Amino acid sequence: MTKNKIELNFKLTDGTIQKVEASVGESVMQAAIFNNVDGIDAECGGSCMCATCHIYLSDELTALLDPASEDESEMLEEAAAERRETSRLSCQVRICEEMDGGVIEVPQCQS
Amino acid sequence: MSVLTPGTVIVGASHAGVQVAISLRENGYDQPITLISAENVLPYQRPPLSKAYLETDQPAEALALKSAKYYADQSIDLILHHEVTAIDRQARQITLKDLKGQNTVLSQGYDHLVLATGSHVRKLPVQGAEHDNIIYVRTTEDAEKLRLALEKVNHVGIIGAGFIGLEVATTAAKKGKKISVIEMAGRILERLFPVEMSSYLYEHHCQNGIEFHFDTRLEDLKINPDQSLSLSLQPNDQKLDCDLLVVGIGTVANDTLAQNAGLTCCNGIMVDQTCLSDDPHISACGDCAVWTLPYDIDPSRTESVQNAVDQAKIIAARLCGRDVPAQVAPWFWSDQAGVKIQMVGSTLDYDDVILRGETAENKFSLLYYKQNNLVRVDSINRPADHLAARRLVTSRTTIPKETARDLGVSLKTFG
Repeated sequence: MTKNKIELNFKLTDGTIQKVEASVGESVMQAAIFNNVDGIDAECGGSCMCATCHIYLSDELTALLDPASEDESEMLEEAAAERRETSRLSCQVRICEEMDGGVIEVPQCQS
Repeated sequence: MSVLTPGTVIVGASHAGVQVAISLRENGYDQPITLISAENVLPYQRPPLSKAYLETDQPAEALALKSAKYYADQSIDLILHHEVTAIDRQARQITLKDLKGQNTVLSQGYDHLVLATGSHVRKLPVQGAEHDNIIYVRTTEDAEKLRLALEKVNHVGIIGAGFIGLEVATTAAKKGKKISVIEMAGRILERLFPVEMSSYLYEHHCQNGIEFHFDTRLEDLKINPDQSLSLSLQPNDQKLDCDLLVVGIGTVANDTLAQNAGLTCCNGIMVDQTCLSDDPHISACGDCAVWTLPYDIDPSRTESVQNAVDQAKIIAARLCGRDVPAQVAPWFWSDQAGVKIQMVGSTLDYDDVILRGETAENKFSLLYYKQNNLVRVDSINRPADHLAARRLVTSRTTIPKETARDLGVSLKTFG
């Protein structure tokens, strides 16, 4: 059976966890914006143009994904907060069922 | 929270209006916020309508800026499908009309009024301009109509080689359509781009099979019995037949409401650097607002998400007694002809251009100088240059031209 909704755990800058219901197929950015997750600005609305939807994925989530494209990677270099191996732009991360229960950390700043 | 104050009323719920509400709450504003939209759907993002949205089958709901729950959680009273018809500045009150058929008239007081009324598309000045096979891309409804039409037609005519026209042309070309673009000016994006960029993009669009008619205007159009269109073009009495016509010939500020209230308007509502109009209780932001950018003499209107969001943040900071963010160099982006275009600075007044990178590799930035100061940067597939350039162009930094060419030196090390 296909699950259309999953739960994501956003770890906010103050250390608290915000649980968010997200739809399979949408981007992590959309899920964050819809659910008002603090600290994800997403100025360009998901066009991979601004680097203000930076997130750190857990290792488990990172393992589920293809590596960042050249564009995304170049943008991440310019993100306001430090780039880590688990850094992604949330607008480029599509939600799949296997991400259910995953942990996503919000960086200290976006701009 | 005192229930006696009417708080802030925001007219228009696109990028600018919604951001005012968001930023007010983020800044701790605890009075009522009323956000009024003439459309009957949750406020949504407009940039994808002429781009990615046309290529996917995602529902319009996916474009929503915020969920319905967000507005409820933040105590933002979102009133959909209502038009504001009048402002009584003396009484600090607006008149609202319910568009759901009954046309009920209501009134609503305000402590502060924010006009984020946006702009509307300019229509073709010919008979038949409202026909079903002529599409103006402004709302999700328009984009949906275009998405469906693109599945059925073969030959797409496009009036206007601006961003909307070229973005739609890019998508239609990917779908294998024949495309003819008709433009009054002598090159693409003439009003917005230096000739160097126009030429580069023109070549790419031509490679994608798009056909251009420059220095050409539409004189007349005829709807054929099969609902296809026959265009009469000038000069030289040219004829062009197409199945669908997409029109992107600019927009006009929605400033009638403000004009009728006696606010100073000049193709938009005149505001100062803090987005305040000539009434201390009325602000304006986004596509409908006219202000003067740093280094500019003439006031201008900027139609972009960045401008809408930044102006909204300025208003919210001012209303909450916070430090008002300074104006920045406008930035903008577009996806077309298979490349990512990012621009900082809007000026066309420059005396030198430096190429950073290789045009043949479709990965370069053009840095425009005026008296050795950086006044504008256009980037193709070089997002890192763009991000650095936002800061550098705002401060009009001086970067030695030899260094600017050197790809080994990151632009972010300057300024």
